[in-house]
Amino acid sequence: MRNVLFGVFCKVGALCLCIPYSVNAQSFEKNYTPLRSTGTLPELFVKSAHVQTEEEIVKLSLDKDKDKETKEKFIRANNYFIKDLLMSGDVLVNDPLTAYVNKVAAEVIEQNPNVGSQPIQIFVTKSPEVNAYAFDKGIIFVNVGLLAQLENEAQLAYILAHEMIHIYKKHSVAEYLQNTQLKNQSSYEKMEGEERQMEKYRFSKEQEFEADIEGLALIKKTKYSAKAVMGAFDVLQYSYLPFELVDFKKSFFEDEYLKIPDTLNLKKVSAIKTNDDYDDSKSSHPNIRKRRLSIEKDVKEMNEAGRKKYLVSEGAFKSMREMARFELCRIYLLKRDYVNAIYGAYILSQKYPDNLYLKKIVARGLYNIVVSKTNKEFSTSIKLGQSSNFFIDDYQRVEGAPQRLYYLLDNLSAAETNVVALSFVYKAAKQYPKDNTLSVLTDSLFSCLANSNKLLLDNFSKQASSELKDTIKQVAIVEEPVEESKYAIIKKQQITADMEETGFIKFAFVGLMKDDEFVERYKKMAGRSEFDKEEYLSRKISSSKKTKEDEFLGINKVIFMDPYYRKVKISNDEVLIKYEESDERQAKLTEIQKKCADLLKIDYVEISTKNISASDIELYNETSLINEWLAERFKHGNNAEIMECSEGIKELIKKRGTKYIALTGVYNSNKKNNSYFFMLLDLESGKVMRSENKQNREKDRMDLLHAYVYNSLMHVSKKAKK
Amino acid sequence: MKKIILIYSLLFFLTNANAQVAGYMGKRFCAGYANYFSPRLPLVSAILENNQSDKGSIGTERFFNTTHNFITDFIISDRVSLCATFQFSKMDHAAYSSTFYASEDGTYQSHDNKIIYLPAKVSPMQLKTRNFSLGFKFFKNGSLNPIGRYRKIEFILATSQIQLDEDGFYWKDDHAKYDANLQELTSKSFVFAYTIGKQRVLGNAVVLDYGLRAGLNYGYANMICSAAGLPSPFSSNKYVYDSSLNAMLTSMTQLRLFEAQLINFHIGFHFLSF
Repeated sequence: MRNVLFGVFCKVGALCLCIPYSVNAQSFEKNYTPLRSTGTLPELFVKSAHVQTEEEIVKLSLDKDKDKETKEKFIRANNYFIKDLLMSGDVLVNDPLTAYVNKVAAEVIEQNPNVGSQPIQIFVTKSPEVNAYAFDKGIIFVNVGLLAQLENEAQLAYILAHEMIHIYKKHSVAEYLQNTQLKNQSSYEKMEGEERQMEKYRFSKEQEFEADIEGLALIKKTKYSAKAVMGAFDVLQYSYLPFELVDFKKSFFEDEYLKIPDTLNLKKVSAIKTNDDYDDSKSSHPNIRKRRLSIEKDVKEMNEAGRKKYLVSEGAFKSMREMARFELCRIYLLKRDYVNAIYGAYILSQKYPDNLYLKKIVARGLYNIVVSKTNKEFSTSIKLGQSSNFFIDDYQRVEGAPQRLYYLLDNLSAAETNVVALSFVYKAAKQYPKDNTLSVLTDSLFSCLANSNKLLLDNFSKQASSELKDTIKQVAIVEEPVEESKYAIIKKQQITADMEETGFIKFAFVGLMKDDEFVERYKKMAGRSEFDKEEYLSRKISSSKKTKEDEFLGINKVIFMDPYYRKVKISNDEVLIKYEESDERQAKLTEIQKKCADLLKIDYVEISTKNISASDIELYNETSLINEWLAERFKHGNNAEIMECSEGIKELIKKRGTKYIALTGVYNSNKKNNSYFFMLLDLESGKVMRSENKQNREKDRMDLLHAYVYNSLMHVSKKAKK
Repeated sequence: MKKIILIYSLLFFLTNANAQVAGYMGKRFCAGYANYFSPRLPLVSAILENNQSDKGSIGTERFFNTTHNFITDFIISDRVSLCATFQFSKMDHAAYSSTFYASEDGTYQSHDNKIIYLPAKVSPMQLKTRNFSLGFKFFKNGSLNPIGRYRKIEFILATSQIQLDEDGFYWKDDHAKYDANLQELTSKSFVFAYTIGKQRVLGNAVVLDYGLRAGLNYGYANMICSAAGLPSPFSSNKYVYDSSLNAMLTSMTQLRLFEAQLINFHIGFHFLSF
């Protein structure tokens, strides 16, 4: 009895502690800690896609279903896709956002038990897209981008209800069957590519209407406000805009002496032009107007009495949304959407001006823009990664308040951006002297300014422009009674020309140059070429032949992630993934890696989620961290700028005892078009230590794979002969 | 032989001095056996008059000749191997009963001066070859030595020896003993060969090697040049114009060698050693 009471007491206590924590885990005034997964991993994460598929296929075999074969294909593709997504590191587990979203879902399910007859699991994904999506198995993914944009809890409830209908009606499998039938029709062959796509979309649009209408029926049974629900379509319609529209003022970067000219301040920003009745023939979803109309009548008929915008808690919603917005800024940085990241941080810093996290977001955003602008001339196309160059969107394509920031950052030259960034980051670093990231960024910006943009201390004025103007006046006044001497004229002209030529940056550091530390660090970093061209070129991911010394690295401890292995069958322009065989081969490749590492005396540090257990949350977070780092690294292309998550990575390096990570993969098709890749990266610097990509037209053979892996690892482990 | 060992050792040393090559799981040396099959061509018969009624049929009835090869491959880079091979073969050199056109002074004169080989001991006449080759295998881009498709260039020093019964020569018309008075029956030749092949590793230990080889011996090239009235880029013309029995036999050697080297299919197994 005592044990039972004690158990109840513990549970109540834990609940009391957890509820406020789950929705308001941190204060945003001073700092923000990015979300991490906690607790234990749900079974979905632990069970392999293969086992899951087998179980579902056994269940299916008990039914007398004429589409059994097609459904089997669907189950297989679906399970492997979900597993990949879950292990991508983009999915949050037991975090405050997920906890809140699940509470809202519980409100809907409570009043609609038939929908909840199939267990529904909801997860939040670290994606900036304003979207949520569902799988027939009862899984809903809600993006951080959507949570950041919502106006109230009722909107979230409606979006979840919409997704629940997709699950309840098994829309995914229905669409798959429909598409398969469509492909088997003789008329399909005669259709053009676009026509085929439109035919497929026709069916998915019907499903969306059904989910909208029946989703509203679910909401009707709850106490959520129906009027508020309609706002969900506004969220979707304006999803391309930032989460708030706040007029951007250039004074954000200015101080007493650094004054950005008005010419760089866009006088008038464009209006929001979106039309909700756009052409949706090439879209899987109907346009917003049609969707609004489909439920408008029902909404009007609903009685609003007793209905609320918030059933869980308004405070919890706002706290959750704030967290999503903070998180979104970081996600923008990872996706190299620097202007959006800076703008998001700008919006939030209006509320939280002393938040270190926001300062760092702006600092990193500016830093990356400086590096991209400075290195533009060296940029070349690359084989891996998506983009070698970062471009700021044309401001004319941007609508509303953020247009001003786009205009400013696009029109500042590399040197000007460098000066603005240095001024901002140096001041932030002074405000937070213990923060290492800000300090490192400051040093890099000093170095970049001096070495790449060729601006030394002498290029900056110690006097404010107003003082110099006074000098001109004084010269004029002194010489006034007498006829102006030619020397006075020359002096006056020189000062004026100087002011015009160098622009606003000449006076940018007048205040900062009074600070000895600023002057000292500038001088020190001026001698260090951080952006040296040769160094930059050496960082290129290139297949060009290297010298022998470069090829052998002498590294004896390496982190190995799960290798990538994809076996496909290509027939009739269709690519069919052989999931089970790919799994088996992946396991074999892992075995080969271990064997070769052992032969070469490489300490094999494995970070694998293949056999992850429910308690391996740390391993899950590490995978997530590395995947984020890799995704960002490849987006950087040739430029190995400082990574957003490098602080977390430093901890990982310390824990695992090595800074090198190896990525291996094989793509094999029945057309004998095979490739093997190996890449060794330095987690600390982002430098590609070794990159191999071998193409062959052989069958998928283990002997060749053994040879490839051994060869790659031998170059990692052996030291170059002197 | 000493010279050959010296050359191979020198090449082995030079190519290995600064190499850091993976090979197959760290193993760079493999040794093994391969059998080369060459189709039998009716070339030798062309210069012989085969008298089947004398003693049965033409001696060499087999469709393929086989050559035994003892091979060593040493991986010197990711796509290049140094190969040394010892080849051994024994084949029929002439028919059981062959008629040679010859005169006593060793010059071809008339149709009547025919000598027939009717041996008591060595029947048919045998050609024994012992060849040594040095070559390089070049693996295709995307392959990794020793796995995948390759092309091999080979330089072969061929030593051939005719084995016959010297007392087996008779004048054809009266079957009187013909004193062959044969001189040197060992000849040396040089062969250039080009191979396209493929290798794969079985059980991380054995290399399966198969392919097709084409070769040309310089003696035969010399004969072709002379026959075509072209200036020969190769040594003397003694094989063509000297129609003594001795010269005829040596010319036949070149033909047999040509036949054996022209087209070869091979299959072999090598063992990965170290």
